[in-house]
Amino acid sequence: MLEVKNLQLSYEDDIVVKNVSFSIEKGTITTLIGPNGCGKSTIFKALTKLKKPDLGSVTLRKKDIKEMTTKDISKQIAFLPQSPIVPNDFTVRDLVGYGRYPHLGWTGRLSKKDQEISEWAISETKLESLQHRHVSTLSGGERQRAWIAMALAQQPKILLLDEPTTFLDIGHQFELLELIHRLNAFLDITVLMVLHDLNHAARYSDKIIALKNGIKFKEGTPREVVSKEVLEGVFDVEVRVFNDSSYNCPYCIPVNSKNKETYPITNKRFKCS
Amino acid sequence: MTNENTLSQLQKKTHFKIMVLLILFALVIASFLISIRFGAHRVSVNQIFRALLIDREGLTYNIIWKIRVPRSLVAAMVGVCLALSGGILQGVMRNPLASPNIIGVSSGAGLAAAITLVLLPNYSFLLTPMAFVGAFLTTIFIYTLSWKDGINPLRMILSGIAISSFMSAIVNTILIFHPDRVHNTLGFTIGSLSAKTWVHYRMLWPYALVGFFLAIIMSKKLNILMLGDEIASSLGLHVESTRVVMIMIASLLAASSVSVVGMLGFVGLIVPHMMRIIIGSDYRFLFPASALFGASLMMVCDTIARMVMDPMEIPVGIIMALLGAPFFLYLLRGGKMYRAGS
Repeated sequence: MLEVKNLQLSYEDDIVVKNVSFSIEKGTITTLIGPNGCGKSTIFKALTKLKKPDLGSVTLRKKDIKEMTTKDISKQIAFLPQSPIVPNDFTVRDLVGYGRYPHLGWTGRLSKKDQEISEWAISETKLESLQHRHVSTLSGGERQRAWIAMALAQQPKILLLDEPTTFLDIGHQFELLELIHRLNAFLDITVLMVLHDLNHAARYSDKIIALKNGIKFKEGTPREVVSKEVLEGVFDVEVRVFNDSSYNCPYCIPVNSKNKETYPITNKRFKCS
Repeated sequence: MTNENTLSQLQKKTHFKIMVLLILFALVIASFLISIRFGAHRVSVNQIFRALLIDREGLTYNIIWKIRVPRSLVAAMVGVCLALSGGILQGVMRNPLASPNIIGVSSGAGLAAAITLVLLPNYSFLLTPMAFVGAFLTTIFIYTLSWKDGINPLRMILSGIAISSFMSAIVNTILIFHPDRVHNTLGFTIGSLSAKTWVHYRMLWPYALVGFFLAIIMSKKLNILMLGDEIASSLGLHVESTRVVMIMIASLLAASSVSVVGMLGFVGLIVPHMMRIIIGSDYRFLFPASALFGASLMMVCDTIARMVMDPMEIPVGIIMALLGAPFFLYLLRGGKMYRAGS
């Protein structure tokens, strides 16, 4: 479905992604994990053509995205960045309508069919009662659902989510992950996302890719990646890994930083005279 | 909520916006009539219609047709161009402080004007084309300076401010060495509509017209751009090229009017904001609203500029700032658009 080959990405002279290759199977959920600044978000930019690769290629359904226009790509890939912005007076409904943009003609008018698709996206994300509210007045969880509704209206084959759960409490985190899971299971949307919570990644992904310093550290099933060796290598923490028997997936508890570089705390204090 | 309910809510919102546009259109007509009615020579509305439609000769006709009508039309066109330019820039830069000034249009035109009027007084008839070229080149210069792997709007704004300061330093240096000619440039620096005639109108209307249609065509794209580069690009918008095209349109619009009437960039800052407060930030409505309101605001301010110290005339830029700024602040406090924390 989506194939990344020997990808190298950089900001000016800093190479942030080095020789990364992976492929995403149709209908699966894949999660990227890794420390802050390991290049996860930059990879997403390359997948939506917002960033040109120095080397390597991205292939979408056997077609190099270099040969596709931004619009062609947008009909297949929807991308939700880390902290999307929205003008104060855009309603949920407006926002979802913009999701139809890739499919509109040159007049940019929403046809009856586009309206129906918007309504469908709103009902899939259970936003009916909120659809006339301004997005800026919604709570974190509702807002995230509104963005997902917009992405759904785009009718994508692939959904890219960059840390969709970061600012949510655990209740809303699970609600959102369940929604993503549902979209994957029932609408057959292929999902590629970045998560920081390893247990969420282990529970919801078919495949996990661990990145460190812009290099692919490990790729595999949750059981292969959420293991003591991999996590300690990627995050420099000591972890204990267990198995959750009811969902038959691994889960882990970080217990200690392995970073030996301790902070030189002195006894000097600054006194307020 | 049922389907029909939803649609009627959507329709209500649209109807409100269309009503606002109609009111603004009426306001433009009213401002136009007011601006040709008042002046050193008083004429009644009746006389206006008579002079324009029936009795096309005599003093009243000459005053109205040869002086006031073109001047008002120039004012209107300038209002349209600057308001659209400001609206486009605020959207493209995603920054509320963006205005024609910050892409160097004003400083570029100002420098060109100072060079023409002060250093080359024999060529002062070239003021308008020189100012136009100066304005447009400065935008391109700032754009190139801030280009680095794409345009970062904030970098462009800061480069614009730096270049503007640099250029006004040159202007001031020129003026210090030629104190006797400072007065020549004053009207241009403040922005004035005095002695604007049909020639100037003919220079402006094509820009206003083409700019207006381009703005309307691009409005949906700007709406998308308001959602951030990443979302916009994910929705299939080519962010970089859209941005270049929009900045160039904004620059041409502003350069055309600034080169004719001088540095009135303030209009471009406040009008789009005022309209945003009233009609919202959907550019499909914001552009026509800004164009209409820009036109009437300019015509009304120019009328006041002519009237208030009669027979002396104040440059319209002063009135614009004296009246526009407080009105703008009033709307800013009352509106919901710029609440704390949002």
